[in-house]
Amino acid sequence: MSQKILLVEDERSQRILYQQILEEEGYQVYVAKNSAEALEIVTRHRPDLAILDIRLAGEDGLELMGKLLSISEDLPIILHTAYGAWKDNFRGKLADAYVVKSSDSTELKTVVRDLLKAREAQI
Amino acid sequence: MNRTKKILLIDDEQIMHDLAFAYLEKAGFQLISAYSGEKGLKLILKERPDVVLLDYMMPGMDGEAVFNELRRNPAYKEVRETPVIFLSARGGDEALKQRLIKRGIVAYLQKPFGLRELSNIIDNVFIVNDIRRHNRQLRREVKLTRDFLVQIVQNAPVGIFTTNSSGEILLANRVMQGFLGVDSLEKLYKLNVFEAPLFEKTFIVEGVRHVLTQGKPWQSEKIRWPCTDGDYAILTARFVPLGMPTSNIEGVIGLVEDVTDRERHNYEMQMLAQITFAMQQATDLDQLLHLVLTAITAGPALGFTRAMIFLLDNKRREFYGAMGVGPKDETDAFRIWSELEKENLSLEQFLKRYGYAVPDEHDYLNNLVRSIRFPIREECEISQTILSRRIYRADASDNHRPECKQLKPLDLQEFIAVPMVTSNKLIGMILADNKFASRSISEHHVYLLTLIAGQAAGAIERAHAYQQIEQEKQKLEKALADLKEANERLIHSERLAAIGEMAAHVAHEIRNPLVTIGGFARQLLKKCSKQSALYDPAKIIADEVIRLEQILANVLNFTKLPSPKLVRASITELIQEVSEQLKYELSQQQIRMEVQLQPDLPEFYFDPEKIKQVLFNLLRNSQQSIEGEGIIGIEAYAYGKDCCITVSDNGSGIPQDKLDMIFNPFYTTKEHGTGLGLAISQQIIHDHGGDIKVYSEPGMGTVFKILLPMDIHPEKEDGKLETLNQVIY
Repeated sequence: MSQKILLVEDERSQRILYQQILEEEGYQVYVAKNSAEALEIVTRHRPDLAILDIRLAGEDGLELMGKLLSISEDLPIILHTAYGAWKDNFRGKLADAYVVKSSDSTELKTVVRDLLKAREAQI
Repeated sequence: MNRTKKILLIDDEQIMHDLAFAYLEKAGFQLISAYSGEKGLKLILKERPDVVLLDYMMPGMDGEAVFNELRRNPAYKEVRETPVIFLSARGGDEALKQRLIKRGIVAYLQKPFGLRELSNIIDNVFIVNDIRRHNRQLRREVKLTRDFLVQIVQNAPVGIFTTNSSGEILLANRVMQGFLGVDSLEKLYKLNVFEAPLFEKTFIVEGVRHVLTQGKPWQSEKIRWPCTDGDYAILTARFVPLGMPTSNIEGVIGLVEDVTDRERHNYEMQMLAQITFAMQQATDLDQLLHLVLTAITAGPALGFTRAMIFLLDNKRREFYGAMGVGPKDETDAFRIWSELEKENLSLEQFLKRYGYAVPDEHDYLNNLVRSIRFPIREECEISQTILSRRIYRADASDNHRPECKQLKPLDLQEFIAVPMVTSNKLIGMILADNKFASRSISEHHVYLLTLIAGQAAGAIERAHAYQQIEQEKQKLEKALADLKEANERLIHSERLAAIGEMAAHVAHEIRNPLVTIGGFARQLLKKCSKQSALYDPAKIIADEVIRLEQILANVLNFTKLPSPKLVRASITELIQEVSEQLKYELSQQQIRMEVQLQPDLPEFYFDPEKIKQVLFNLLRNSQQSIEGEGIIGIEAYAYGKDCCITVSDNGSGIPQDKLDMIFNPFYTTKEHGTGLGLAISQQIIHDHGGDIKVYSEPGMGTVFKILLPMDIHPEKEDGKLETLNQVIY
């Protein structure tokens, strides 16, 4: 059974893009455009990994991260954002990875693969 | 003759008494009788007769014995001069007659004599006696007049002498003797002014010759006359012809006057006027002090060897040395004086040459004086005397002086200290002495010094006031320049920060769609073969997007925050500067600023520009949270090793659930905010190794609390700061 990834992204074009890319990698991708949807998916589908945009319309990706972790404590989270270098700031440290958005998705794919591999090894 | 003349007859014969009585009473005389020599003498004393008729032959004392007694016995001193007419019964004793006349009897009558004869002789005696008395009176008067004149001549404060028509000195007084330097008056008499070496080439020769040849008075110019003490006196002379206006000139009267004191007084008045004038020209305090001291030490003025000014520091209750002028030691003194002697400057030249400069940094005495401070103490007599505005004078012999030990290095012996008082305010003292010179300080110089001290006090106070105004002016000018510069810097840095924020914002906004475009182009590339007509366009899109992303990354590198430039600075000054800059703008908006800074907050290392940016961000935040009237408070105080700065407002506040987000980048509640202000502020504080926290209550207000470490040091903390340095974008 393929691994489940939650993709939280408020911009439609990017939701479609990353869903495509990740599905091509063989993952099952659940997409959410806001916090409410994301929380519901985590509760219902228990994804193996979450990819969060920090800046969501009217919401804070970092805040959402805290909420997600409160539901699913060991959920690996990748902060995926256009804004570089906040890694050490705030709760960005709590994320398992921090990937700057790029048209070249190689880094994202590598990080996702590594995190899932590590999670499998733990289990 | 109003009075009836009294005649005493001394005779032992009754018949003589009867006859004389009968005749002389009738002739208008009063007759007194004595029948023996002894009785006669008593009556002379008692009755004081005008004339005595004395018989020679008498029992007991004879006439000669009576006369001798009268003339020789001191008991009869008062009546000794009474005229005595001798009556002799014996005929022809010529020797007796000659003897008695020699001793002073006025007449010698030989019995028998006629009464008319007696009466005539008595009359003659009276006449002769009157003439004699009158002569005596005249002689006395002449003597008095002569004494009077001699007294005048001798005691006149001018030199007086007379010569005869050939120029021989007839008379001179002691003043004249003094001018000529002769040890006795007698040596002058009979000297001829045209011949004696004493007068050679003097004005006396010229004057006497003029009067004797022209017959007119002669008046001299001012004469510089060498005195015996080596000093010079200023003399004026007036010679006039002696003799009746109609007759030939019999001689010369010379009057020579010493006008040194008058001239000196005139000179001193001029000198004081010059010094005062010069003082008024000086506005620089050091220059003025030097001018005063130069005047006091100048040869053409007071000529003290050393002069120093000590000013009063009222707050510290002490006198401090302001300046000193004078030689270092005897060699120095000798060098200066011999130089000055060669130049022979007037006071005006002197002041012009030396007055306006100030002592150079190597000047021994000036440096010594400036190093001296001595407190006002009860046991310090100088300070006490000056404080009570009196003159302090110390003699060379005054060994036991309770003076301040701080003055010891000056090695004062005889000196004078006068207070400088202006409009009833004591501002300091002038201290002067004649060290290295053997002359002592004269009363007159003390007097002049007090006059100068008074003038100097006024001038110093004026210069003080002027200097203060100048300082205030410079302070104001500097403050204005600083303010302008700070304002420009502020505008510049605020603008730069704003541009940076905007650039970051725009760059990120572009990046999102760019990522999407490039991402889809890559998806397309994966799905079509290289032969496909879509491959190349898709490849071009993907590559161009990568290129754009790189450009954006480069642009953002420009706006990354550089590491803090740590300098040691005052945080309180920085806060004051920032609050001053915003005060006006805030007051327009009815917002009051309350700044409370711990006064003794030490300087520490931080980046003033960056911290300023933080403060501006926080203050703008507070400003925007206040609607209508409000208060913004800034506090700074030491908190352990940290400096705690709080910025508080009574604005709308932040809801509890948003508090955690406000430092997040791009989080904003404002319509036009970039959401980066607080994030950047936090970054800056973290770069300093500090922390920022926020406390807020909706409707009540917000408090931002910054902790900046004060023990951070640029050298030691270099490595740490490098790691703290963050690239934001």
